[in-house]
Amino acid sequence: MKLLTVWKIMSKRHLVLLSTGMSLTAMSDSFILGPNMQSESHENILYPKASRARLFKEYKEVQREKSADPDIQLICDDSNIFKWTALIKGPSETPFEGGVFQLAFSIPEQYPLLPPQVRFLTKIFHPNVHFKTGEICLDILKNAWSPAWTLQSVCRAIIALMAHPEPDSPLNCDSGNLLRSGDIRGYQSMARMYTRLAAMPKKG
Amino acid sequence: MDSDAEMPMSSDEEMLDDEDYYDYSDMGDGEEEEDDGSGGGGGDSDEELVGGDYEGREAEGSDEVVSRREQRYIVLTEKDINERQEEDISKVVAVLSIRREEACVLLHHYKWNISKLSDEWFADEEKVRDIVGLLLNGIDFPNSRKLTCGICFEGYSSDAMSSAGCDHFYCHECWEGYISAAISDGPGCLSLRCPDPSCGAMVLQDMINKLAKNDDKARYARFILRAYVEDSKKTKWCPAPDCTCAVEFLSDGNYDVSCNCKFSFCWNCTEEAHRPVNCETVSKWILKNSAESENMNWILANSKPCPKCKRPIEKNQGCMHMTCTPPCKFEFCWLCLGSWAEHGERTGGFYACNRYESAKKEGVYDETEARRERAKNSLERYMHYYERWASNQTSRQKAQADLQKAEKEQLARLTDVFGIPETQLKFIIEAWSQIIECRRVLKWTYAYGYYLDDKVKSEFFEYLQGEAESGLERLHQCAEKDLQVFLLLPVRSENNEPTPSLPDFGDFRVKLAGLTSVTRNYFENLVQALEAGLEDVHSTGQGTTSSNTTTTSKKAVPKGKSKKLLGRTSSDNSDEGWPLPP
Repeated sequence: MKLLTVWKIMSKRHLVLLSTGMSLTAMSDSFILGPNMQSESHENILYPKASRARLFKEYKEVQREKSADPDIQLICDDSNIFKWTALIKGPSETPFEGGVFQLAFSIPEQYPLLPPQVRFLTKIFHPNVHFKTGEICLDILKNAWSPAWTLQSVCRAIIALMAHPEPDSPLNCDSGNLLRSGDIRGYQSMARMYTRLAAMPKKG
Repeated sequence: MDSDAEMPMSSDEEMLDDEDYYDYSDMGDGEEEEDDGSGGGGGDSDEELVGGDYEGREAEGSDEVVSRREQRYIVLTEKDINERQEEDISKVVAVLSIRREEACVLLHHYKWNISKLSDEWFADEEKVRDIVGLLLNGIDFPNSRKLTCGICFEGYSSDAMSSAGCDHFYCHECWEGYISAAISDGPGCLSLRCPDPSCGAMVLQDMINKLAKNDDKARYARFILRAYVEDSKKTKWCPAPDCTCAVEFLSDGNYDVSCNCKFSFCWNCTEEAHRPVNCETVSKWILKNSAESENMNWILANSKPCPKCKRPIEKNQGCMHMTCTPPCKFEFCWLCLGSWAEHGERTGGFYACNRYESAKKEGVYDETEARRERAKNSLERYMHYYERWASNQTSRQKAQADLQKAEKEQLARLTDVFGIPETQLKFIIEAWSQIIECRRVLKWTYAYGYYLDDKVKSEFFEYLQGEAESGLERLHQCAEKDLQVFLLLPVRSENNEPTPSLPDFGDFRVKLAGLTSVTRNYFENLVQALEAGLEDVHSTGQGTTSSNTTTTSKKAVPKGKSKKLLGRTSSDNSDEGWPLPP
C-alpha cells in the first residue's frame, strides 16, 4: 500500500492547510456554534477532551471554509461529533467527473492520534475502493497517518486518489486488473457507468 | 518506514545448502556434550563414526569439539548487549563527532554496521542526514511568539512547544500523545518523524525523554536495545519465553545452540533444536501440523479409551507403557493400543510401534484393502507420524518436569533414605537429561520419517529408530517407575542400621546408568545415520548388512552375555535380549 502519487500531491496542498490552521488562533474561542454538545454531558465523560476539542476546531474551520472549497462539503452529525459525512465532487477529467460521492467518517476517541475511519457510501468503481463495503485503501488512513491531517485534508487526499488510482494495491481487483492490463478505456467506461448509475441525480 | 519493513532473513542461503548443514552438524549440542565427549568428532571423521568404530575417536575428538563449540556461538545477556551497543554508539560519536542520540538513529538506520555508516557519511554527509532526517542547523527558536499547535490547533506560547529541530511546533501534550501512539505501534517508533507529513525530521531520543511519559521512555529504550539484536544478521533472541538472552552466531554449519536458560534451539530457523532433521523438513512439518491441527486436535484430544475396559485414559506419564487403573489393570502400549505383553520378540522386535508399514501388515489398521490403499498418502499416514511426534513432545515435557522434581525433591529424599550424598546420585539427573534429549531427537525423527520416501532407506531408518526408541522406552520406564519404589521407603532410622533395600538401590543404579549409556549410543547412531542422509544403505549395501548383523546378534545373544556387556545386573528381570550398540 504505497500511494506515493497521492502523497506528493497532498503534501503540497497540506502546506496551504497548515497556514489556514495557523489563522485559527485568531478566532474567538468563546463562541461555539455546533452540534448540540452541551446536551450530552455523559459523552463528555466517555470521550477524551482532546479529540472533542480538536474536532470542534475542525468544525468551526469547516463552517468558515465552506465557500472556500467547493469540491468538499463536510457535515457533522447533529448529535455526535464523532460521526461525520462528506460530499465530494468527482475530479474533472476523470470518469468520476460530474458525480457527487458521499463519504462516512467514523472518528476514534484517540483522534487525531489515530486516523478516522472513512468509507464511500456511494458506490464507486475504483481500484482502491472496495466495491461492496466502500472501504478505502489509502496509506494516510492507515500507517502513514499523521495527526497533522484533518478531515478536510483527508477528503482532499481521497479526491486525489480518485484521480490517481493505484492499481498495484487493489481492493477492487476487477478494476485494478483493467488498469494493470492497460485497458484504460475499459476502466474508464466502467467507472463512468457506475458514476452515472450511483453518483448522479436521476434524470426524469 | 522502510527501516522496520524489511528484516532480511539472515541465513536462508546456508539453510538451503543441505550438504553444508550435514557436514558440520555432528558437532552435537550442549546438553549432550556436557557429559560426553564422543558426541561428535571433527567433521572429517564423520564417515568412520557411522561405520561403527568410534571408541578410538573419543579421546582425540573431544578437545577439538570443545574448542570449536565455544567459538561457534556466544550467548549474550542483556548486560552484554547493552555494553556492546554503548561501545558502538560511543565509537560513532567519536568518529563522526555528533551527538549520542544522532549516532543512535544513524546506527539503527545502517543496521549497526559502523563501517558502512562511516563510509557513506564521509562520502556525502548531507545525503545521509537527509535520508535519516537529521537536520544540520537547529531552527532559531521563535522569540516568545504565540504559536498554534499543528495537532490540537490551540494557541500556546513558544516555551510550551517543541519541534523536532524543524519549524513545525507542537504543544507538549500533543507531543506526548503522538510519541505514545507511535511507541504503542511497535519498534517503528525508532524512526519516528515530525508529525508534519511533508517534514522528515527525525524525533530523537532526547526529545522522547523530554516529552514522553515514563513508561514510554522505558519502552523506547527497550526498543533500541531490541533493535541492536534484531537489526544484526549475526544475533538472534533466544526464543524461550521470559529469556532475555540473545545468541550471536559465529560460524556457519551446525545451527543448534544452547542458551544460558538451558533452552536449545536452532539458530537458523529459531524453532527448537531439531538435530538431525534439517530446517526445511521442520518448517514443512510445522506448517503441515498447523494446517491439519484442527483435525488432529479433536482426534487426539488428550485421551484414548482403554483397549480393554474402554474407560477414557489420560496419559500422565512419559513412557508408552500404560497400565489401566484397577480393577482393569490392563497393560498396553499407548501408541498402538496393543497389549504390552505382545511387545516382545513375537511382534518382530521388542518395540515395533514406530513402524508404519509393519503396523499395517500386522492388520492393526487395515480393515479393508481400499482403506490401506488410501492410507498411503492420506491423513492416516500423517496421523501415524503426527501422533508419535506429539506423544514424544508431551513425554519430553513430562520428563522435563520430572527432572526438576528429581533435582528439587527426590535426590534429597533418597539422601535421607539411604544416606548417600547427592553427588553420588547424579546418575539419576543424567538419566533424565538423556531422556529429555532423546525424546527431542526421537520426536523430530518422526517428521523425518514422514518425508522419507525411499523404501530401502525407510526400512533402515525405521530399524534404527525402533532400536533407539525401544532403548529409550526402557530407560524412561526405569527412571520413572523403578525409582518410585525407593522414594516410598521410610527415612533411615537414627541408629544407622543398614537399610534392607540398599543393595536393591545399587542394582537400580547400575541398571539406570547402563540404560542411560546404551540409549545414548543408540541415539548417537541414529543421529549420525540421519545426518549422513542414510547414505550407507545404498553404498555397497553396507548399512543393510550391518543392520542385519545387528538384528541377528540381537536375537542370538544369550541373556547372560548381553547383561554382562551392558553391565546390567540380576535385578533386571526383563526377558528380552539387548541389541549390542553397533
